[in-house]
Amino acid sequence: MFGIGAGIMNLIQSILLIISALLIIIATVGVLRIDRNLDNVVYARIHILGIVDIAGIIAFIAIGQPLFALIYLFLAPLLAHALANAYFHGEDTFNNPVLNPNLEEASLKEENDDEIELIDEVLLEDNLDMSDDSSEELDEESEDDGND
Amino acid sequence: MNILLISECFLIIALIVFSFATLRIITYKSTSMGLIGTSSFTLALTLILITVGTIHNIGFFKDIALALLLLGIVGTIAYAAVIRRAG
Repeated sequence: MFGIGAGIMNLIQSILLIISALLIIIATVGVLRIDRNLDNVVYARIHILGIVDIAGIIAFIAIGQPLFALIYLFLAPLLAHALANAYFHGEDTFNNPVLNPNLEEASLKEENDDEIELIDEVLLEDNLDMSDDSSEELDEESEDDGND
Repeated sequence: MNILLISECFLIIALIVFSFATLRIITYKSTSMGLIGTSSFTLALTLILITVGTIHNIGFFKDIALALLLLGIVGTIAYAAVIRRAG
């Protein structure tokens, strides 16, 4: 009876270890194959490495080290957030307007362009309404003239 | 051959491949990528140490792995905070 339970435990441990190994290999391929010319590639890499964090926690549990799993379960999100925060405030010239002042000017210009387009649309609709009104008035006047 | 030993060896191989990938990440030019690669390498090394220690019944590998995990992550978070304030 005890031997069967130990065998099942060994099987479960083996399955968990193989799952974590597969996750690690998939994440490795993803990290190496992702296009480095993407806009936010650093955040994407942090996101991919989150898979490795979870695989590591699964492996810790399967090996029989729940203390390591608990420690890493609490520290991994802090680590990922600290790294992303450091990159944003230190090196991210694509998203951070403090590091790239042209970004703020470009966003303001985009907002102004949107407002101008909106005003143009409103004015165009008003002009169309006015033309309809004026045509109706002309028709009424012509009908009045015909009656007289 | 025990299936648990086979799966542990499979995990070690995957971790070795992953540690080479993290070494490739470390060589990217930005400092943040170096930090990301270093923290991932720390995790891979910790898992390798624990797995080898489990296979060969070496007790102090777990102590080394625990110290490496804690100090590595805390050091990485501290350095990330320094980069954040410097930026």
